[in-house]
Amino acid sequence: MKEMPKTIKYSLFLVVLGIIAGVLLAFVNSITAPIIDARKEEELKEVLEEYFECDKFSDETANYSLDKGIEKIYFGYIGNNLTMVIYQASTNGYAGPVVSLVGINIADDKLVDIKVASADKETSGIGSKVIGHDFNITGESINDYSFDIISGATVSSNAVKNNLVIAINHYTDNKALFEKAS
Amino acid sequence: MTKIQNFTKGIMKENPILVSILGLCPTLAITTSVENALGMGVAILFVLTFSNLIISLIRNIVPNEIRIPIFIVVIATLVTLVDMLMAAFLPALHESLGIFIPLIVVNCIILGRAEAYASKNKPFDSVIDGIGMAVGYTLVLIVISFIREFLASGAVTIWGDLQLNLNADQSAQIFTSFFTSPAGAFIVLGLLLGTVATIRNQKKEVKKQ
Amino acid sequence: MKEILTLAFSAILIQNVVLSRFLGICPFMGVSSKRSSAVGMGLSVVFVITLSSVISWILYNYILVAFEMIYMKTIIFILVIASLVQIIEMFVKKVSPALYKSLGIYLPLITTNCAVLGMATIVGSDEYTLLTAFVFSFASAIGFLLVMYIFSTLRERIDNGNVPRAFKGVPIALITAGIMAMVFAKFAGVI
Repeated sequence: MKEMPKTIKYSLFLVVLGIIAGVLLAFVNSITAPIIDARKEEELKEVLEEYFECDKFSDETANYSLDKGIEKIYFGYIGNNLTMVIYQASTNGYAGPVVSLVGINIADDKLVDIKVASADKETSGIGSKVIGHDFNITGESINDYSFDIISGATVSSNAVKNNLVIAINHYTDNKALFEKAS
Repeated sequence: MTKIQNFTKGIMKENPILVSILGLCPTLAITTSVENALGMGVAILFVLTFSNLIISLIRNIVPNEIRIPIFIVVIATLVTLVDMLMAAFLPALHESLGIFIPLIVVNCIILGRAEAYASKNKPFDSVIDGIGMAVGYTLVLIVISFIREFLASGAVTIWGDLQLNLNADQSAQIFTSFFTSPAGAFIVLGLLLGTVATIRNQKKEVKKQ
Repeated sequence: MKEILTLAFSAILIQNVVLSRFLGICPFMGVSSKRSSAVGMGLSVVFVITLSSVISWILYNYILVAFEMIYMKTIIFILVIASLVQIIEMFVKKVSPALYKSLGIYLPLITTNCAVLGMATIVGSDEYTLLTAFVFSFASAIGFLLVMYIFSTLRERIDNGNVPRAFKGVPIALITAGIMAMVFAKFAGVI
């Protein structure tokens, strides 16, 4: 211990300091992380429960490979059971992106709903009609559904339809994984 | 110097922003509301006080050649603590201060005081130095935020719902969001520093005569 | 490819790291008075930002996430940066002693350049792929270099002009930067 080469002594010093820091932070993290996670869950719920009736939601975007156009993937739970997959998909409409939330029921591959989350660049009074519009697809099968274009708002409606298609395609490709998770 | 002088130097004579011109990045970025300024001020007070304290306490056992990395690890740990605590208990503030919370690590004021004072002075004095500097920094942040927020919207947010509003009906034309834009930040700070320098120069002239 | 170009374009001009994100102000004020040192500093910063951002991305996604130590990211990132700057210092000293001398204390101060830690923090997360992390950090750093260069040419002129004594140096530089920021803000409408 007497004449330790300087580099070793210094590295040791830094390592010990690093460990102290790590332990302290791990401790505080164990207290704050649950609070932060709970709040994020609350915020997500506030946004999604407006459109989809679930008790709980989780953001699964990081756990799956995303196709082009898919921005986010959420799971919707009733009780503790994973019931539906909700996609946030984006397609270019008339003048800007049209973002829709698409819910698909895992048990029977039926569409829960499609709702436009944002379309602020679409023409006001015309393309903007897609926002809040009920496209009447609840309960239809993902393999056989009818999607009605809003007359006079063809481009914007097609963007919404494309969001639906993107979501269904991703769902079909990954169905096995979702069924395993539920 | 006396303990009181040690404290007040951070506010006047050696004010980190107005005199030493340090820590400009957050000064320009977060001074869009008084609430932000107060929040950042509290964060800096916490980090600066504890970092000065800790560094002063270990100043005799830290080998000179690696003192900078050591200081950085201490400061980074404190900043991570503040980041976590704010994310958990003050989420709105955490959101608006954003990336400038972790950037407190490289705020030249903190490392500067560690190097210039805390590593060479006793713990109690270092703590006073830290508090003084933090208070001086926060006061300037509040002044700039007050100017920018007021000129932008006629109202000033002090904390949460506590507001000072002179433009409740949104009718006054002289308020413009220019002041909360990046360009506004640069110009307000530039004018402020120029004004302060003018005053200090005049004081020097008076002293000479 | 189009997304990459859009990302690069917006990183350089629209969300310019200095004039829009307020990162890197200290060297922006401190080193920009001469064109040659501004460019030298800018290039060093490009190197450090790009390399440290990519390393931070790798460390975040493969080590911090795997070991559930995400809260250690600030400490790890700043240590990576400090080491990189040490290496660069030794390199510059050997290759160009003249540049080393003219940059003086501002070279080790790249460690405390908030643009470097700022970019590492933004990019070292799960919102970027390795490719977009590289493009975004490199482009942002180019934006820094660009602004440093333009600013240094302006400052050379300003310092020769009729500036009131109290405003000389930093105050007038800030006001000039403000005008530059106004110009750059107009790029937002381009894409």
